[in-house]
Amino acid sequence: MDFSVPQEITMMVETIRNFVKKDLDPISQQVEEEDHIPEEIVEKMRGLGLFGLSIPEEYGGLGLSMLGEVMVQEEIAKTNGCFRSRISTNNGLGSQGLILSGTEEQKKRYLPKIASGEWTACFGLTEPEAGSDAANIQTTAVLKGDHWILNGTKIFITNADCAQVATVFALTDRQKRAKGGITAFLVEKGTPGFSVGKPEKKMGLRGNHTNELIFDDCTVPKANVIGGDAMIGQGFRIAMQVLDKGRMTIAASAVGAAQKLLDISIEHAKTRVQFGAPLAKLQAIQFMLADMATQIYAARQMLYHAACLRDQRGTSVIMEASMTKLFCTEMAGRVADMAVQIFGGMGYTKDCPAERFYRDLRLTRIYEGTSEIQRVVIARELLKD
Amino acid sequence: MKIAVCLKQVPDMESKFKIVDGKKIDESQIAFKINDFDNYAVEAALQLKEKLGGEVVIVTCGPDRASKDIRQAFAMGADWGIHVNDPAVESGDNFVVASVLQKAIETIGGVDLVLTGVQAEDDQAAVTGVMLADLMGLPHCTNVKKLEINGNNLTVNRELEGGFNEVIEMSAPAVLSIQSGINEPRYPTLPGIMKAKKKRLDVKKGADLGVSPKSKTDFIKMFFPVSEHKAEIIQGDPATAAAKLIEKLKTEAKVI
Ligand SMILES: Cc1cc2nc3c(=O)[nH]c(=O)nc-3n(C[C@H](O)[C@H](O)[C@H](O)COP(=O)(O)OP(=O)(O)OC[C@H]3O[C@@H](n4cnc5c(N)ncnc54)[C@H](O)[C@@H]3O)c2cc1C
Repeated sequence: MDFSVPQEITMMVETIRNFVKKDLDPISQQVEEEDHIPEEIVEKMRGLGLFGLSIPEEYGGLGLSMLGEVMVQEEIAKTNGCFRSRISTNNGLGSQGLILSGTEEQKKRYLPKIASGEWTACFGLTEPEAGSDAANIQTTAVLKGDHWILNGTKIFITNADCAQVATVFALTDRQKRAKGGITAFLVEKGTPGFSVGKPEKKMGLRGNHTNELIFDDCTVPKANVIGGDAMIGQGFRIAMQVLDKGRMTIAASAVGAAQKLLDISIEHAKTRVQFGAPLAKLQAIQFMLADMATQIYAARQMLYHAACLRDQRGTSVIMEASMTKLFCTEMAGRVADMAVQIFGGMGYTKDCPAERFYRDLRLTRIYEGTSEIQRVVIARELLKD
Repeated sequence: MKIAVCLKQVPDMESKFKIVDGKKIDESQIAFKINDFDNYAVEAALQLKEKLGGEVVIVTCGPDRASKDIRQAFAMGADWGIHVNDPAVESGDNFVVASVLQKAIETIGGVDLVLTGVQAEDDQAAVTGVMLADLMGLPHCTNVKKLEINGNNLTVNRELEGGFNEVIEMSAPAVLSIQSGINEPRYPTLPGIMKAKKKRLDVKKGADLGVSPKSKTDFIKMFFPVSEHKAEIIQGDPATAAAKLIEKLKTEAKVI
């Protein structure tokens, strides 16, 4: 397959690389300690156009190809993961439902604000009883006059605390569930009966938060069903399509982080002296570096290939997207483990970026479908008649 | 105000440099970018355009790959550009480049100000801007750290050794070589990069401009100088070590 990269993508990647070096890396540790991204940095991210990577040009975004988007996401993942996470829901989960299934009116109302980053968009699917088993949601929506009344709680919602609009999935028919009983709604901040809970105390991704979305007789206008009345009951399909795309960008973030870990491991191995010579002289260390580089290379080929496939075929790369997420995130986990090992005791301290990547990367094997769920999807596709 | 900015694409200095046959750098390992000093010149031009209106034109001599960095300048906000892509120019010296830039700028017509970087990060010749001014018959100032314009009058701060500034007045049209730190160059934004794709870039050969200048210098070879490790650590207690050091400074190094 031809991976020739358009010049504008190379230029974007270069811009991101400079931005990471000049603006993000220097405050990475501060953000980690304060668990907060300074607003002026978010403003710079808006100025650069980072919130609209995937949003079509007609709605104010960049309309990047999947290959372009994964390359940009890969680059911005080479620093503290919270920065990528901040832009991730506008480009992925929070906007894709609208892009794929929204009415023209809905797209015009929300997408330009999401693309510019003026508004943050989040995605509420997971609930206490519905993680991997997403169809088991308990949040309900009942039609009353011109409004749907939502009741229930979503958990672990990325960017809930800064979002102005959420894509929310609720049961509109208890019996039908995934098969026609789940509907996707757009819920704006300030809607009566809608509130955001406290942030979770997470293992990593400090600086970016996940919170509950709480619906207590929340009144959502009828016009806010994604795709309009025709899409009532079609929410589960929307959720699965959105997640299918998100898998590629999570894989991209894993590849970018792994590359950064390799880069800093090489630097460390060349400078840290033990037994009178740099660590890099030790075959044990050399082999770890070789394994890291080889796995990253394989993962990146897979990522670009699947991205190109998606660009050619449209949305139907379900199996390849799952394989890519599975392989790239598990790969990054192994690479992070080796990086910590190469850094030794320092790798176990908060002053070392390897420690942070190790924690942050752990999440990539869990959210937007765990590794096990990816295997379930792959096997289902393989065994399909 | 019509401003031409001369922009050179140079290797990222963090790249690994390998010399082939003592003649050139192996480019396969090298990432290229805008010469840092030129980036400040682009920003200075854009700030003037924002204040006074007009247009910013990028002029570059370089191979195919240089188009990426012309477009980076477009993405920052420059309007259009001229790319002289000619192996004969490429193999010439700074005089050849300055001569070609002069002709290219002439074709734009009505240019009020030409900005260059003080020097290129790679060859560090720091002469192209001066030569260009001479060829164009225009006043010139190097090391520009601050720039104010009032009609045709330019007030320019020129940086001297040790961080001193001298203030100079001159009038446009003029050629100015911009020093780093004069401003904070903006990032090319991602939407800017998309727009840059569609901006006009005229590709020319030396012949199209009616020039075929000859180099004034001959290039012989390039090499990495061998560094000599001459450090010596003097052992012993402080008093004897100090005595030994003085002895060596007197008899061996002959500096005291
Ligand atoms: C930081 C963070 C951010 C998140 N952001 C969002 C968000 O923005 N929006 C959102 O909706 N959700 C979000 N989530 C939720 C996330 O998608 C879920 O946590 C994830 O899907 C797993 O669900 P669960 O936590 O309930 O685990 P469970 O489903 O309980 O899984 C527990 C274990 O059982 C395994 N397992 C479960 N079912 C199967 C099966 N059928 N076969 C084999 N193994 C199985 C799993 O793989 C896992 O190892 C986020 C989570 C985190 C931690």
